[in-house]
Amino acid sequence: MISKKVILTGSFGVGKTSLFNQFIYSKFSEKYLTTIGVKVNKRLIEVDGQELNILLWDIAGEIKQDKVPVNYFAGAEGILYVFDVTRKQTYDNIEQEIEYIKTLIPHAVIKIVGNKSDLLDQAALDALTQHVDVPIDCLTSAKTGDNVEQLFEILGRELIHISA
Amino acid sequence: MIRLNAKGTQVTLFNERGLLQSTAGDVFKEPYQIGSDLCTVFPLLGSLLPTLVELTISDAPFHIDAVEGSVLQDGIYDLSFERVPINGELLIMWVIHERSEYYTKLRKAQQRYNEEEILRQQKGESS
Repeated sequence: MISKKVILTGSFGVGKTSLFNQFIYSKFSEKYLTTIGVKVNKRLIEVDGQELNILLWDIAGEIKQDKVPVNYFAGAEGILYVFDVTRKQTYDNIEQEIEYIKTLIPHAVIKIVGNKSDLLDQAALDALTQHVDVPIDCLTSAKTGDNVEQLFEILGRELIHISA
Repeated sequence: MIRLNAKGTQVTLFNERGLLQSTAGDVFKEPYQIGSDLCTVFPLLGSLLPTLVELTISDAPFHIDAVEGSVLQDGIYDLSFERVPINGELLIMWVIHERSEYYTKLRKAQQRYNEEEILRQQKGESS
């Protein structure tokens, strides 16, 4: 069975822990509790008939990725860079942040995730693509669970593909 | 120096396959038998093993700080890993230190800052 380390990263308060809890435990809490370091758990998913063990790291949010301890990124093969669709500051410098991550883990699969999609209407979500300077791979709502499974399926498919 | 009897400490030796060789301490929630596959028990270890086996005995310890885990006693821990030669075998020594008090204070301060900053950002968005 293939196992892959995947990191949820991005600014604080964007919903990384909520995505972690939704994916691992199918749970959501309205209460915001700052993540101070790292939590790790795993879930087995099936993508196109293949089993993939996702080892998911939920790390403390930082506006700038160079504040994240470098060791957290060791061995990561997937990055979910999460921003909050309602807070411009969480996607303002996304291109530079992604470039920095690429210097640490050049071969990782990186997906850009706009979370809290339940807080905007479709027109605002459509307009968002013009304000974010990198292509958005997935819009999710950790609260409703919308697109969360699909996000990991998209990532998983690519992770399986590169290890084939 | 590592104090094996220190409260909130666990020292563990495992081999390059992640199999437990010996352990002492009070941090693991459950006892594990020698030879247990630690990577299946600790997802964090499972995802770090390829990195840890690359360490040499001359490398500085590899640190992962502020870890919360469901297989450890409730708390927040600093972890360090280093290669050690024991009885002709190159093992990995994993030291866990409980630092809940420090990180809980830090979390409280960080929480306050984050909440204020999120509020400030949201006000800015709506104005």
